[in-house]
Amino acid sequence: MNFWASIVASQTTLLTGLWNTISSSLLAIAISTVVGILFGIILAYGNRIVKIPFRIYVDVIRGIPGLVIVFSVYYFIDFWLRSIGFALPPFAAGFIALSVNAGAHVTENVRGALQSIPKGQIDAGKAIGMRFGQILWYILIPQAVVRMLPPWLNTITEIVKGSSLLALIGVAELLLTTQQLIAKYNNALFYYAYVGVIYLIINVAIESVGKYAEKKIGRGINA
Amino acid sequence: MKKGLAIVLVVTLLVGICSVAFAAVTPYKSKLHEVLERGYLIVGTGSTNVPWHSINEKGEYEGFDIEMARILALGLFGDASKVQFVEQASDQRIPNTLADKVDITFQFMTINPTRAQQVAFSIPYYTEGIGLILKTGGKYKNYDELVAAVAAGQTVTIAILQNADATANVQRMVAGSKDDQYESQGLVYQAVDSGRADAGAVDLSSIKWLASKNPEKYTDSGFAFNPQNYGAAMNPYDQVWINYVNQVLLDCMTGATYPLYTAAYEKWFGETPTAPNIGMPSMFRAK
Amino acid sequence: MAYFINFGLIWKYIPEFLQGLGLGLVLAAISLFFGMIVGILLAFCAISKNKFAHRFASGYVTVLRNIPLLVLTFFCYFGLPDAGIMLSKNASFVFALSLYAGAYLTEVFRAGLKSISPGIVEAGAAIGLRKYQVMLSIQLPIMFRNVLPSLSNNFISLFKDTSLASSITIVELTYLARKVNTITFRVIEVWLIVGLMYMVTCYLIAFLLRLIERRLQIK
Repeated sequence: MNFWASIVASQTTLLTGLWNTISSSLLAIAISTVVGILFGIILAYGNRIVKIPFRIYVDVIRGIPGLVIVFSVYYFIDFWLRSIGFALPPFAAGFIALSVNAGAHVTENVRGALQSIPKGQIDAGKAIGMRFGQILWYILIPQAVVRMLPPWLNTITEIVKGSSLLALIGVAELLLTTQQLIAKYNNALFYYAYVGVIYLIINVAIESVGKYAEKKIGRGINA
Repeated sequence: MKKGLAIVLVVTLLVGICSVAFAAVTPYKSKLHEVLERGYLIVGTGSTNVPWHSINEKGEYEGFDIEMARILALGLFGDASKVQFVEQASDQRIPNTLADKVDITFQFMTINPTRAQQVAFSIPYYTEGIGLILKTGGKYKNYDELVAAVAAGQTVTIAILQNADATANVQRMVAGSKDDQYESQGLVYQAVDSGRADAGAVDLSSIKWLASKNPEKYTDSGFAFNPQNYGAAMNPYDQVWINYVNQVLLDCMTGATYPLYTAAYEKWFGETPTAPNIGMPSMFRAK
Repeated sequence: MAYFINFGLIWKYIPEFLQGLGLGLVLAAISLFFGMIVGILLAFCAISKNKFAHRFASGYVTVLRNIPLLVLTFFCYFGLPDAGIMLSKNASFVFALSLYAGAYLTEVFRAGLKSISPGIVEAGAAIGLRKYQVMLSIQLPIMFRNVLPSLSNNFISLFKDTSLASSITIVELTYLARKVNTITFRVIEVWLIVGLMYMVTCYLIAFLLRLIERRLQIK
């Protein structure tokens, strides 16, 4: 069977793989963003002692390769769950590991964006009688969003690329389904090139949506 | 005091005898009768291991394990289609079988003494081994050429799935060769396909299946070792059911239903097994 | 099933782990070297006025930055032999990692070149230096000093990326971790130790490179 015919014949498999890549990435993006915003706020404005565990989380994760985090999360959580009688499906381990990894990066982005806003604005907010929550919501976050958007988009691309690591713990995402097809049809050269192009398309699409959003938000703030 | 003790003893004895007698009259209901009444067999298996158990384009289960289950259903109901397959992961094979979620598990399960303490195994229906798969038209044509190449001082690389005995097993197969340990079976095949490895150490059943399906791609080196028996697993507390399953399996390997086993074997392993002897049953013959 | 943490079985593998770690550092260093060559060449393409060169550089960066390194690794290891290119195991990984690093370093160097004020380049031209002389003796040295911190960060990233070499059976730290897991089944202990080794190495490299950067700063 020639290459394109085999692609057409196996499109259901490939689409399942694509769906697993997209769904694990989306879950990881959602979780890491929520975690990152919370932890970022704590690191930017928290009390020195409260900050310690969050600082450790960020620094530890940033010093360990993503693949090692994927394997560790898979085995740590799985071992713990097994002791109470459950088995962790690789997919769950996968998106949790991606979230843990990306969460540290989002945390740093948020912290950096918040701290780049001059302190005087907080004082000004206090002076007109706003509570911290109000200052955060009305003054700091709108400005931080503009500043953290570019690195956040970068993190999303990293998550999508990182989801390929889940192939190594047995999640049938794009890369693993491609490898299953290579086992069936040979032709590793074309298949790996093909899957590379699919990742490229996904990421370029994310980038252009991001650029568009940046423009819109930037305009909203300036107006 | 002594008299009292004697009475207690006699009463206990009587109660004991009565209860045994009572149990004997209660009709003993085996899984065998339960399955017959239900009208179909529930079999635990997997879906990701060709040629044992997988799902085809039509969404049906197929493979050698599946054929064995169908032979059992044919024996029970005279209809090979009366089977409901239940998907289970490898580590659910024992729990599901013990909890009676399935009547029986056909899932390339290796019989070993530890597992046999938990579940009852049927007689083996296949003896698996580790073999060496070669690329057709590749550097080496058979096992002897691999060994000769090592003897001649060439580097022979053998791809194998990462496991505790990987290095030792590769050395037992081709002493002096180099082992590359991959994280998945698929990558082992890719290493053979791309020429990264001179041979791949995989289950003999997979080699037989692949070499019979794609002779232009793969060749069996003709070497295998490390025998492991595959048997079906059942709840150990039902001897009637266990006996029945064993009778059906024994018959299909040595008796009247032998054509069923042969057909399955030819379909999945591309070979015809040796026919049973007429006269003294094969398994009791010296050689 | 109770699991008791027991590091006893792991200690004897530490020398092997350290060797694996060393191999990772070597692979990262070689890839950084080749990646820098790619990066410098493409950075000059990116800032050049030649439309084709400019497009080529930006196309390269877009493609390589958006494809997972693992896909690239498998492509070079299993795919290229189909095209008749059979690099050795280590060479094919270094090739993949260098191509990948090249994309990130192009961005680094481009920014470094852009940060040089045009006046300096013009001054070079004014004293009669040829274009390549301006490049070699003015632009490159200034750019290198500017981008040193980014280079350090890239080296650390590359070192972490060498963990992917385990997938094509290169015997570095992650590969050894998985191997020891299958022998001892001390999964938790092995990943704790290996994670710690990666982390300590990363921070150590960062610390050393900061020292060097400080040395090279103009006072």
